[in-house]
Amino acid sequence: MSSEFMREKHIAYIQSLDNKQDELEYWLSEHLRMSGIYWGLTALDLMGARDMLPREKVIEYVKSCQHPNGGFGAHPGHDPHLLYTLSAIQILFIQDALDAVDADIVAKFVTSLQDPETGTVRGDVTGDEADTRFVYAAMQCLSILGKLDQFDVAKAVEYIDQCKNYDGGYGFVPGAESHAGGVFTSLGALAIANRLDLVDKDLLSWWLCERQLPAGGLNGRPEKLPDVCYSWWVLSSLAILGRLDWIDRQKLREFILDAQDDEQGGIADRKGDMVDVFHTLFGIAALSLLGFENLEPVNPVYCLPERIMGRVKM
Amino acid sequence: MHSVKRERTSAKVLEERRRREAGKIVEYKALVDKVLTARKNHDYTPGTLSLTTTLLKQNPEYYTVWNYRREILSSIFQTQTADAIQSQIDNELQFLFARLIEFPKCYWIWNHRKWCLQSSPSPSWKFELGLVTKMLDRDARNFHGWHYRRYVVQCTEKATGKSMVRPEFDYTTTKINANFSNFSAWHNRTKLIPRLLKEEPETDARKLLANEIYLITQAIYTDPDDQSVWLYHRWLVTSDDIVKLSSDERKDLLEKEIKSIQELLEVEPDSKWCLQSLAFYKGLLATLAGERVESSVHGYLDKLQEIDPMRKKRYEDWNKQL
Repeated sequence: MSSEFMREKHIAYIQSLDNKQDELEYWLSEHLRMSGIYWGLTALDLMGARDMLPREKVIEYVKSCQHPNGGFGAHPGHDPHLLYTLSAIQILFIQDALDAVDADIVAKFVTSLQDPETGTVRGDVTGDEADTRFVYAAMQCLSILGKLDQFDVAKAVEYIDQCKNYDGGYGFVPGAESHAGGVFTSLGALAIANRLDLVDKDLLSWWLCERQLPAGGLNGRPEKLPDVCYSWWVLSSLAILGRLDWIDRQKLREFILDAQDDEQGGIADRKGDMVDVFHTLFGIAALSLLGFENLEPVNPVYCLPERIMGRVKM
Repeated sequence: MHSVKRERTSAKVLEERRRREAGKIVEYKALVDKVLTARKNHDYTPGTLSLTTTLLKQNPEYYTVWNYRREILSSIFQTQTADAIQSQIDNELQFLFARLIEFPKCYWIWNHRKWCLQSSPSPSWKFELGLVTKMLDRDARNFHGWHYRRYVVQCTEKATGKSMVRPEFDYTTTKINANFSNFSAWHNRTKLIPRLLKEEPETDARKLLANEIYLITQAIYTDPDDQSVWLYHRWLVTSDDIVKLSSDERKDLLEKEIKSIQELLEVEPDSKWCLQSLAFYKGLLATLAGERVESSVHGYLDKLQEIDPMRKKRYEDWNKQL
């Protein structure tokens, strides 16, 4: 049983991530690097250790991933994509370095991905993959940049409303079944649009609190296994709806702490599995939302430290 | 990493693994280098296409390489006849099928498959439907599979001008009969039934509702702890999506269902889903009748706090609202 939060080990784990060039996985995960830095940096920030990554080097790296069309790739040489553009902007925002890039050209890239007919948003300029993950990413990105007025928010809200299901939840696209990830992206976008009035609060809060399983962890859909990352998708959604107390916080805390690697640091999807920086952030962010471990408060809509949210021009 | 077991390894084992991986890293980096250099040089030859095959087999998440692969294919298609394009796409679909079996949750593979079909001179939607049926046989809850299925159905309908609502409805029945606990299939039913009623106006909606309730009651009795069946039951009993019931009809339906759940509760006195459904339906019935809610509801909510303490606060809030 690992009942204690291993702050120092998690900090060391995140710091060590860029020194793993002798592991194949380091190279196989290059397509995620930009988000990896956002996950690591945010986790460090919530642990009060944001200076543990070299600020100037991080900013230079982010800049080196930008393309002439304004979008960012996951790594130098990787194509621009909305997911990594959001991560890039989040990193710069945490570092208070948004002036390192031209906000107008980034906003232009992001707004160009919206379909004017349906309001949905594509992930990149080459494909036609579009869902609420990208609607949320676009809205958060533009909101941080103070450029949300360049985006058709009303149309995007209409699209999200079409993703709503009979159980109060949201799928990633119209017609798809409710999924905690889709609930989070939909609620996040609706919160940024100030349109939470469209949500069936009681019904959705019920669906969300039923995600908690006897082991204390949360799953993403009925009859699925619990996973630490859903601690974040489900919990932040409950926080947005003001219903954090509809689950057993202590049991969830234990589930997350049990998923820690007590030797190397980091948090896994569940007890006994390999850790990664994605689950490390979402475990720590959930603990912050629950008010445990003396962590910095996290904003449930943006998954960023609350400390910097005052800088967003709403 | 999702569901990868952590092993405790000695320094010696770790060292051995490092040594083993060192060679692989050199090979992998060289391959990546070759592919990215070729792209910089606008190399759209079949030789480079097969380099991307090797790379994507090793790392299907490398989205930039999928983009490059599409650039190469598009370039090759420009000089080819429709037959040659089709045969190239058939190869591509075969390659993708193998990738999907190995990585059924990788967005980029599903994405690339759609692109292939959109680029195909004569896409076989029938084959695609068979493929996704196979994928859902392997994992009945893979939401990528269900997304893809709805996409294939849409394309088939567009190509043939014929609705697939009826066969798709029957498909969800098959999935449900194989396993009642399939939230994905129940969900799809909530989307298909309203369309079915619109397209087959001769259908008796009341009878369909009765049939659905019969089916779900069987499912509930089979496993009263399964939440997907209760969510579907709630949709049937409370929504107007199937048929707009008069207030009296709704009350009758609620009373009938309450009675049936009460019978189940006698056999399963600690069933949380029985208790909360009863509390909910009785509350609804009271609202419809303009009466005070039955005192038994408070008892259900008290009991729920006891047997489901994780959600204690929800039952407290509910009790206060009554």
